[in-house]
Amino acid sequence: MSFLKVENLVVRLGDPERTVLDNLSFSVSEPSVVLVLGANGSGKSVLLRTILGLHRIAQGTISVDGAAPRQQQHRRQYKQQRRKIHQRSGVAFQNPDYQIFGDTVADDLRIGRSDGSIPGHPAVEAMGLTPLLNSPPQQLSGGQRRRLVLAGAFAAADDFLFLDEPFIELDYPHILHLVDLITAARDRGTTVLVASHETRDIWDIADQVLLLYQGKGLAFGSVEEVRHHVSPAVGLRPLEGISL
Amino acid sequence: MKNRAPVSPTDTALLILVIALQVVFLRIATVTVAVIAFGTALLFSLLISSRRKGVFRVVASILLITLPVLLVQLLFRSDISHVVAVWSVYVLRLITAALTARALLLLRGTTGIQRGITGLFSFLPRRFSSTIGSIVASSMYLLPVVFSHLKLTIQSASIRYGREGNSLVPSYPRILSAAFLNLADLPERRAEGMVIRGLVE
Repeated sequence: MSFLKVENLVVRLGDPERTVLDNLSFSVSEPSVVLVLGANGSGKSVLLRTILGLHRIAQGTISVDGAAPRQQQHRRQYKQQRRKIHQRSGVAFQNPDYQIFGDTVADDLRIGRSDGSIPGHPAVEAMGLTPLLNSPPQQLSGGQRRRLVLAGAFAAADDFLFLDEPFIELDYPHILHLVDLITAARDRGTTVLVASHETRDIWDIADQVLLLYQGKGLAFGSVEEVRHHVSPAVGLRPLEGISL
Repeated sequence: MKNRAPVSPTDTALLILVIALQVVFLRIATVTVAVIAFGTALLFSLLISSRRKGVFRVVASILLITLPVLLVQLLFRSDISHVVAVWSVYVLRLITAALTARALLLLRGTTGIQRGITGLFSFLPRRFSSTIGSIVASSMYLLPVVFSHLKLTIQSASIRYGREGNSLVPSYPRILSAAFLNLADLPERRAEGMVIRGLVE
C-alpha cells in the first residue's frame, strides 16, 4: 500500500530565491485520486516534482511508507527513497517534449521495461497509440505526443502516478478514456496525483482535493469539503454545473 | 581553389573564451555578483572600444527588447518588487554577456573570429565552412537554453530509465545519451539566439 505524507514543506526556487511552496502539509493513507488544484503559478507542478525529489527542500519532510529522510542530513537515504519512488511511479510532466526518448512510439513505450516488450497496458489502446506504434514521435501532433507520455506513465505506475495537467491538448474521447484509466489505476491500488487548474474533467472522480493558492495549502479534504473554496477569487473556474 | 586564411589558434582560443564567459555570465546566481559583473563588463567595453555609441547601442537594444516584457509582467502580476528584481537581474546578465562578447570580439576583430571558426573546417567548400562558422558562433547564445533543456530531460530520463533492473544505481550513460539525443528538438529555439547575436555583430 502506498503512503505519502508531506509535512510543513517549504520549497524556494528562482533567482532571486522565492518561496514557491509555503508550509504545505497533507497526507494520503490509501490508494486514491488526489486532485492538486490551483491557478497558474500556484505551485502544483513544483509540488509533484518535489515529491519526486527533483527540487531541493528548504524545510519540512516528505515521507513515503513512513520513512522521511531529510534531504540535507540523510543524503544517501534521501537518494535511495527518491530512486524507490521513481521505480514505483508513472510520471507525465506538463511538457511531453522533455519526456520522449524513443525513435518510434513503440521504442518509447519499451523504455523502463526490463523485458523490452511493448506494455500490454490498456492505456496504450485507450490513448489510441496502436496504429501509431511505428511512427517517429517527431511526426506526432501535440495531442498524440501527450497521449504517448500518458500511456507510458500508466504502464509504468505501480504505487504512484503523477500526472501534471494531463488533460491539456486532449480531445473529448481521450479525456473520457483518461478519466477511466485514472479510476482503474486507483482501483488497482495506485495513488494518483493529478495537478490541474481545471476541475471539470476530474472533479467527479477525485477522492481528495488539495487546493493551492500562491504556494500555500488553502484546503485539503474531500470534494465536498473543498468545494466552497473553488472560486474565481483563487483563480479557478466556478463549479456550477458540475455534479457530485 | 580559393586562398584560405590560416587557422589562428588565438582566434580559436578567444572564441572558446567568449563561449565560456557567455555561459558563466548568463548563469550568475546572485544579484550582487550580477551587478559587479555588469559594472566590470561595462568598464571593459568602454576601455576597449573608442566607439561608445556601440556600447550604448547594445544596452539600448537589449532594454528595448526586454522592457515590454517587464511592462506586461507589471500589468498582470501583483508582486511588483519581485518582477522588477527578476527582470533587472536577467537584463543585467544579458547585457554583461553581450558587452563582454562584443569587447572580446573587438579585441581581435569579428572577421578574425569568423576566420578562426571557418578555418577549422577549411577542408570543406567555403559555403559549408562559413555556414558551420555561423552556427557555432550563434550556438553560444543558445547554451543557457541547452542547459535548461538538458536538466529537464535528464530528470525525465532518470525516472523512465530508472525502472530498468532492480539496481539502486541508475544507468547514467543511458540517461545522458537519451537526454542529449532529445536536444534534437532544440533548433527551433535558435531564433532566440539569433536575436541576441544580431546585437553583437
